[in-house]
Amino acid sequence: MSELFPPFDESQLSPEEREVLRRFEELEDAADPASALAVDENFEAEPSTSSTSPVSPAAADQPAARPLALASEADFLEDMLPIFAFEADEDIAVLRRTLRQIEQDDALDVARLTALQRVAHKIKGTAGAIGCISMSTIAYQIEAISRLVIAGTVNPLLGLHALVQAVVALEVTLDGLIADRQEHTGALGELQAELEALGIEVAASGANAPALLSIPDNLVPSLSSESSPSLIDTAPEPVSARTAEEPAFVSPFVRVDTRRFEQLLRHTEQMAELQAPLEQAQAQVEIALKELQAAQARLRHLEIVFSTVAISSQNQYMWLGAMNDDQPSSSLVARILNEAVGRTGHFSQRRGKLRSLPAKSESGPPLWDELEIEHFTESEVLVQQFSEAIADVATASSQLRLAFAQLHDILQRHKVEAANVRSHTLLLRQTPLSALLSRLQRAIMMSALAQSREVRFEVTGETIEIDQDILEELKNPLLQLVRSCVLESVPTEAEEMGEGGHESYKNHENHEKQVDRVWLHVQAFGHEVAMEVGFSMPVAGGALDAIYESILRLNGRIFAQRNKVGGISFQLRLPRSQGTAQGLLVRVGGQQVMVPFSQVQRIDYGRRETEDREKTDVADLFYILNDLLRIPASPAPTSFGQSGTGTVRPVLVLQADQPRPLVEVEEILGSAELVVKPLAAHLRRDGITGTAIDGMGNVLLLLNLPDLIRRHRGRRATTLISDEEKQPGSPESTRQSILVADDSVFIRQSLLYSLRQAGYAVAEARDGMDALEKLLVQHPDVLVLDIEMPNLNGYDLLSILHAYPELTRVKIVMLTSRSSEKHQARALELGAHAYLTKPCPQDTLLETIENVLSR
Amino acid sequence: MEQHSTSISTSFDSALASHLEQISDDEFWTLAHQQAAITGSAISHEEYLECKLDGSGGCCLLALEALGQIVLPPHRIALLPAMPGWMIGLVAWRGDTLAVVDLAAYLADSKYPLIEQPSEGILLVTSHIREENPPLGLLIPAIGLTTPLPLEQLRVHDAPDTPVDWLAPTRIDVVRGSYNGTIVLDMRSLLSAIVQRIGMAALDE
Repeated sequence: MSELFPPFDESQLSPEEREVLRRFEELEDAADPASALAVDENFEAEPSTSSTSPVSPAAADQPAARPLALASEADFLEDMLPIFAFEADEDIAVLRRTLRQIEQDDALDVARLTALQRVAHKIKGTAGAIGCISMSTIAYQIEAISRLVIAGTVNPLLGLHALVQAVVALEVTLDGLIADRQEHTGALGELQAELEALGIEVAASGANAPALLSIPDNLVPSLSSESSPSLIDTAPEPVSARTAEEPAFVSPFVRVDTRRFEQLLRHTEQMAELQAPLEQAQAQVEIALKELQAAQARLRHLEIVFSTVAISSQNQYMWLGAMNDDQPSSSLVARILNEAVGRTGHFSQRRGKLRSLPAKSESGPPLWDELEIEHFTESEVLVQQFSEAIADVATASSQLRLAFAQLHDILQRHKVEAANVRSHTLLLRQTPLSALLSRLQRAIMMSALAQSREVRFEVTGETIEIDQDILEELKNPLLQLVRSCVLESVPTEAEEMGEGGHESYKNHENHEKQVDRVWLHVQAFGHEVAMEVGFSMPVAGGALDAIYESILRLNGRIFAQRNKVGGISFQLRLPRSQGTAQGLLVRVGGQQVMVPFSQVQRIDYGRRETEDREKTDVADLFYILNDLLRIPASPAPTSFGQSGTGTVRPVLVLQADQPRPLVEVEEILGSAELVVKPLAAHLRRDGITGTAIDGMGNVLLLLNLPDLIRRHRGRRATTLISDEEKQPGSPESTRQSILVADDSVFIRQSLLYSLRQAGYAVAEARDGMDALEKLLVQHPDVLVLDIEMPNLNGYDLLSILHAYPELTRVKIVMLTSRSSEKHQARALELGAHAYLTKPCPQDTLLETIENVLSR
Repeated sequence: MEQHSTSISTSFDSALASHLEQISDDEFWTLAHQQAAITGSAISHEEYLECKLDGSGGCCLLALEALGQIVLPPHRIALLPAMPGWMIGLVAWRGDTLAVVDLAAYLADSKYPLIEQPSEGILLVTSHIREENPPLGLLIPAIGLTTPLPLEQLRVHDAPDTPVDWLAPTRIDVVRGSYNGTIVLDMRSLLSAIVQRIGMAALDE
């Protein structure tokens, strides 16, 4: 560019000419300020980062306001543009071809990546020469990403996806350039966002990266307007793509909603305000305790005195027996006399007169009058003191109870506030799933599929919130899943052959001219969130690879199923947070378990539902929790009934569409809110979300009843099939069955022929999803499985089979053209029993099948 | 003299101390060289705990370094669905959930626990040997003495000399060797195998 358009030297102009030029510039600025801002007079062959002029987000969505060149260059560019476009189009085609070859390679081919670098380098130069900053920058991105992948800094899979996106962006930008004669920056901005999402930092990744490669903010203004306020936009992005070895949860910060923070602050203050009343109540309790102790001390003292009086009285009676009825009024006197008797052996005669008795009530003891105390005997005084001491104890006890009640009340309020603080603290970590949407939408819209067909993205439940760490962990895998699925239109066999295809393919074929749909439906189920990522069209295989490990790390589950429109839906179940759960405490087999409130619609104690189920013929919807958990019933009778037929046990009516499943439990012990932790990997069980530990040290399983029911039904179906297989005389009982899953008709037909000749009952599946469906219905003895298939590839299927216990007895023989050891190791690691490579001799295949069947 | 004593401290006792006091410098250095020559093998001593597995005298040795705590088992044990037969259940351990395994039942590949009353046994809580091996509770009927085991005397082989009824053939891979006729278990293999089998039990249900 610098050679073509040397910098304009104003010094060669006369003062008059310079003045005229200045006036024109002023006029131009006044007429079109946006254009004026975007004009870069220092524009050179390489795109520059030197521009710091802010561009409004709205302006960014418009075609780039900067003209390709100044007016004096317009004619020249008009001539050059078709030539550049033709050449760039050819180069982009080369890039696409090379990328496709890289995708098909078993191992990373550095030579192909180097070729990519070369072509991208060429585009970068020519685009820069013609003044197309965006195309030049995108081309550099391709060059730099290729370099990073070769250097091993970026995961090849991530790098490949980034390269695909970059080539798409290049193509889109070129199309816009040809159509509008102006370069659009939107695709570059989208690409930049994608690279950020993938964690690929191109600008900082190479020491040789020119300054132009740091895309200035004003070139990607749409990002700030499109992105939802979430941690994704604020948390520091990793310098390079995260590898599998790095820890899952890397976000050191969380984004906090101000409103929620204020709520938390308010609850914290309320809890702090309870401190003074709490201390006061504690002091009251201490005072009451001291008073009670004093009253008790007085009582103990009186007890001693009373004992002494009692002894004295006894001696007095003895003395009276000897000395008639002359008795001392004082126990002290009596004791002295008594001791004297003991010492001398003589009773001393005491002179005195009978005291006058106090006034007595008409019936009962004499009325106490302190002014007449001298008229009362010592016993009567003692009784009075006893009465007073007992009254004191009663008063002190009452005061203590009162103080305790106050303390309890304040403690309850404190507990409530503490719970509020805890729940609001947990809420601080929550963020709506809508934070993901803009990225998902971009991924879909930038896909190759979206370039050739209209793709509609539909979302429901996006306001449901989830822990930010979980969202962070889920973000990239979910993007990868969507990208993988919409990577490009799957060349289905049905489409290729135009006959006998699967129903979904037929649908897809019929609807080819219509709109393809991708949807994300989110629902919250108490502690869990259920997400359906659905595709109305067949999807590329290998989609699960990106997300399966993350889902496991998050203690989630993933299933695949064909949806109503014939495409594939991935069902994800994830915990919403790793905090507390509220639920019913239920006894089963002598231990307590917890059922989240969100799963239970109501509790039926009268077995009304049970009676209903008999009438409505939905007996298969009635379950016993012991059976679901496969824990033996507790021998102890429940508190709700007796053993035998008359037992009335509570039944949980679950939240579901009619008819609702019913789960009978031994006993409902109450409710609780406990901190739930996920189980370690080896302890994870379907239907068990996590464990909690109560104050008594009990380990409580947190149940997911719908999952438990699903597993139970799967087991029941397996048992029924096994029973059928055992029926004598059944022709199929002696004939072992094989399902062949391969997307090649030729391979399938040849395998079908060979295996039938060998005496097996053989069925076929044309892709991974088809295979899964047939596995669930037919339960074959052996699955012969290819790796490269659309709609769940072989790895996907192996991964997802772990979610179906009823299929664990199926032996899996991989039969694939992928021969490298890493593929073999991966397949075996995922649960395959044998691995064969194509072409495979028939004898070897039959021998391998016999071997796995004999295990 | 004192400045050299640390080099032979592994076998330092009072008798040796008085002996060292009496010998000459030359004799001391000779002794020091001898001790230095055998230092490598002296370090290889590991403490092992004798674990009694049944009433008929079956026992094995476990490396003490692999054990974090030796405690009485808690009374509250929760059952987990799809547990292997030799697993007792789950207990709370320092705020986390710990799987408890009947060691004798595991080694015998029994389909049910052999300890009738878990509360009467001894719980050995393993320490983190490797990141992928979470702590486990090994329940045994009783423990014996600890034994320093010189590794050079450990007879390493794949199978014990004489078959023992408490060790199933499928569990032979967790045997490290034997010492004075007592089987020494390889804790890494043992814990890895137990964890793997507990995990697989979920798939086998």
